[in-house]
Amino acid sequence: MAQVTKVLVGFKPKETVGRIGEWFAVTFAIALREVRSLFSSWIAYVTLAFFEIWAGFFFFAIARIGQTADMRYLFWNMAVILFIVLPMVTMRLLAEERRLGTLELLLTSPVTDWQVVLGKFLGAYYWLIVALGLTLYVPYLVHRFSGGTVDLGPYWTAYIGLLLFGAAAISVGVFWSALTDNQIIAAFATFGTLLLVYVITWPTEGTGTLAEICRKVSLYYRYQDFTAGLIQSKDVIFFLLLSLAFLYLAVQVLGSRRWR
Amino acid sequence: MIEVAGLTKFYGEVRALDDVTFSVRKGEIIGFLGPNGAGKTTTMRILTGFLSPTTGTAKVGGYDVVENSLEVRRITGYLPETVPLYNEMRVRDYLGYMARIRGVQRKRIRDRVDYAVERCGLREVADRIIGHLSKGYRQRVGVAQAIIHDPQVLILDEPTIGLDPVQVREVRQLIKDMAGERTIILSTHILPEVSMTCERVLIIHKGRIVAEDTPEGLSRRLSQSERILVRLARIPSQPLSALGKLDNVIKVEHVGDNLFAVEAPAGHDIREQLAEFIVKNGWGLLELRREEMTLEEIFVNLVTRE
Repeated sequence: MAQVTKVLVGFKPKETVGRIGEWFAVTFAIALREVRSLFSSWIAYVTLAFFEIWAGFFFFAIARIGQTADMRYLFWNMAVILFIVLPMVTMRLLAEERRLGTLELLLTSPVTDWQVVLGKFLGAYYWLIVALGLTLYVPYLVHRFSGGTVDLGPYWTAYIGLLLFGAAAISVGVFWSALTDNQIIAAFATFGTLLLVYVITWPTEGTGTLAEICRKVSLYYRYQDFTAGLIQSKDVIFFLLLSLAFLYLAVQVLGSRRWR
Repeated sequence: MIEVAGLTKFYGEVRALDDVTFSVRKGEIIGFLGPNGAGKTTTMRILTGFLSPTTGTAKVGGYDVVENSLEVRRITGYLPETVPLYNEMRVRDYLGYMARIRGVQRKRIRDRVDYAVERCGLREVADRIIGHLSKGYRQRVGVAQAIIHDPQVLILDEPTIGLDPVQVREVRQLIKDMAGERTIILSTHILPEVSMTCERVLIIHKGRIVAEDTPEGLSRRLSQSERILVRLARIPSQPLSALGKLDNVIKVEHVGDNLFAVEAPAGHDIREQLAEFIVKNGWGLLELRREEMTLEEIFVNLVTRE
């Protein structure tokens, strides 16, 4: 009780806000350095080009051949391209720092492991925002050439879905990058993990408990709802929890080195 | 400032540190001396919170390195063995970033970067890309990031490794200049380094501290015999046996063309007796001096004994 009273009496709102602000400011500094480093190397541009070219390809294929504004296939394919490309973006996050020895610097600075992991996550997330931002010509063109008759609602929900799906994918990437200092292994492990949870329902189509569980953890099933114009809180929570879980695991991996 | 007690670290089955105990006073500069794999880096990594000890405790500035790791890191500057730099960054940006994550207030960053640049002689390269810098400059950038947040404690792991002699001298001077204002621990496997920069030496071997003293004290304590070198103008017919008959002489060696080494037990000064004897015999004493045992020899002595 005395403890609680002490904490309550000692609580200074201004100071606490300042400290939380500082916590995030330093985290953003780590993220910003990551962004600069990413965009000073070819990898950012090669991966962006890959994503944009394939997204563009599917868009024009659907618009030209399908003569339709139903872009569900496009958004499904965007998710697939993302989990091919994102591992290349995330593989270097912590693995590179480990290889350079700068991880030792980060972890002996007065920042918590959470700040490091979150900073890395945000750095890669910036790439995702740029990548998705560069596809915004899709709703623009559809709107323009349909004379405003097409409901863009499902497009926006699909984008929200991609942002959530991407968060989960990047978290998986951060985790694998924390676990190994070999970037190729980090990339393949990330790709493998994402592919597994994407296609997990394929061998268990139909009914039954197993099929039900598989559908519950399938990123594909969860994401499909978004492309259909549906935002369900259980899907949002699923993606957020999944991201948090992998970031948590990454923090644990970073912390475990102290005892190795 | 630094209190280490009973520190032990296992990597799996391998014992990297074995009951290491030492302390460092505020403002002191101490050297960690030992061959590669002796446990220097492990000790430094524990002090900086990068690793946790298996048993034992370490305190820096009164903070426990495990319990209050963040506080310890705030007051400690660290230069790891492989200088950790982001090659694509410019020196100034790198130092600014390091200042930020080391907890420097945003409005003070510019001042701190200027200070570190000035202090480490980086003015000419401040706007260059780190990847293009020479090894000597890279090392100095490493030292600069270690002092960027004005730490009370500085931990430098092999700060002069891989530098050319001129650069080595510069970095040593830099470290020496900071003595007094900060508490410094530096590790090295190069002996002259500790005698040139440190006030106190800890010799570490196979995870254990095997000796602790001032460089001079160590030198004194460890020389179990004293060698006197004498140079003669005329070499007698049987110099070795003649000198060997003197009191307290253990061994006589012919080391150069007319140079002889006379060995006596430590604490016995035989110089006067030796000079008298040579002069009396008319051998022509040209030179007589005490040979100091070099730290190199002490080191070999220490680590080969164990």
